[in-house]
Amino acid sequence: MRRTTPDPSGGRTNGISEKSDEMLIEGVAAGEHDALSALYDRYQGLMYGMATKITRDGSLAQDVVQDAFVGIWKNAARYSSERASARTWILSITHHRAVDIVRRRRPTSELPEVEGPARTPDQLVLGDIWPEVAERLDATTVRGALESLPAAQRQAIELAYFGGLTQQEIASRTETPLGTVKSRVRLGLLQMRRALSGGLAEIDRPSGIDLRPGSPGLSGTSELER
Amino acid sequence: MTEREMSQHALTCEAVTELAGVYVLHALAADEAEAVRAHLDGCVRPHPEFAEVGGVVPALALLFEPVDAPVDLKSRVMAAVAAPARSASAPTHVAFAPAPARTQAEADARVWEPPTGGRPQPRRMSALSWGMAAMAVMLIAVLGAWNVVLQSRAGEVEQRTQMIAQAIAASTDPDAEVAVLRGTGPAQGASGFAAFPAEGEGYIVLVDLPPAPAGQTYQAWYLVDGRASSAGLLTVGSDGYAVLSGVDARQDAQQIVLTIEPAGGVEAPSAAPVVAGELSA
Repeated sequence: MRRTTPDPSGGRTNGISEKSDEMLIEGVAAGEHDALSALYDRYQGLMYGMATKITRDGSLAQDVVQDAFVGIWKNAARYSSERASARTWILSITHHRAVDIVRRRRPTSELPEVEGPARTPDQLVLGDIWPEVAERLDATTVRGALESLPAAQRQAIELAYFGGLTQQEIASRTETPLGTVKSRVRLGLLQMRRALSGGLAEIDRPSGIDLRPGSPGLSGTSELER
Repeated sequence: MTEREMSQHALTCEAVTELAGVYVLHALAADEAEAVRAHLDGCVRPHPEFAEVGGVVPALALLFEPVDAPVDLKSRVMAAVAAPARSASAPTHVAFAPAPARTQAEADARVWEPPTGGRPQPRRMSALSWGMAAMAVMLIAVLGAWNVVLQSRAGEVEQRTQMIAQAIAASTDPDAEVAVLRGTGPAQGASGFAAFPAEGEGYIVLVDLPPAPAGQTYQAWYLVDGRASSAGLLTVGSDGYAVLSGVDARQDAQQIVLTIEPAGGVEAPSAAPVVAGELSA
């Protein structure tokens, strides 16, 4: 009887660690479990950290990560590197799943769509240069930009992005008119963009990429997973 | 009027522009977000504000501190993605009626036959077969319960989780041979799978397997044209799990079965199978 040499990877992981995220997503789209396994190894920490922060529950956070990977598995064929970096796409899916799960726990909330619509308006698939930008940004810079905002704008953004609250819930929580919440979030994000663009320009703005407000440089969308 | 109320009507460009920030932060209810998308789908005017504010979102993601997920989560994820892509079908037929062996030579040459009298036919199916689906669905169900049972036994959980993760990885090899295992008789209710990748070791995983009677053990067997050869002994944990790793790959095997044998195992099976499954590849 032939005795095989134990090899947990079965020899199938050769070279996979050298593949880019985008190549791994291509593999996932082709149904390669090894590619998904490699993506998991790369992103589980980021995804679980995001999910834990938003849900404040380790068990729910695990559900978020699992749901996110199921979403990645199902939608990998629809991913386009022209729309966004793999990192942006993966974290966008994770964030969406996290806020969905948080909202399901609230008895007065409507159940959100789990999968979302299949179509993506052209307006929401603009280019994303995050790989270039990310190399020049760090958490300290971003935190500084966030903290530079007026308190009301910062609070609205934090409640939405880190707390998973809807605009209605933010309005109720802060006893603020709904229109004011919308304005605070939009203006706060625009001011952050200006702050980050300025900081990047001082560091080393990549040639050919215009990061000024109104330019297409720091573009992106929350619909990247759709 | 809120966007929810407005979702019944068309949003104006000005209203959509004002919603850009809350939209990109996922702070709209589902119907409100759909109203925005509906507008953008049909609007002839550009809406660069979505790109402007959306570009900040990846930067905000840098503020989340990475936290390592529990070690067993990967097993759950891999099992979850394995399940929906495959179509389910009927479980493996496991009824056997071996005649008692009178001599060792007879036992060595034993040919098990199903009750119909016909020899078990090999079933060569795609790796994307019902067997995989049944295995994945079973795993999803049992892994969660298993985590609860063993919460206080972290070391055992980690070791078993790693072995099961390896077994799942082996089962997802496109060239792997996989058998869905079902218990019968004294092992009624037990389920599991055997996975043999094209290269590397194979695995046999059982859950809800009752302990073997005192002085006895579970022994796994390959069946090749009804002839049995030992694949190894399985020890059942107090949680009902039994995992056998480092199993030889037998490309010619058609079935995997378990029998209850005297402790230490035997050269040839002396009892009827209590667990069985057909290999598909």
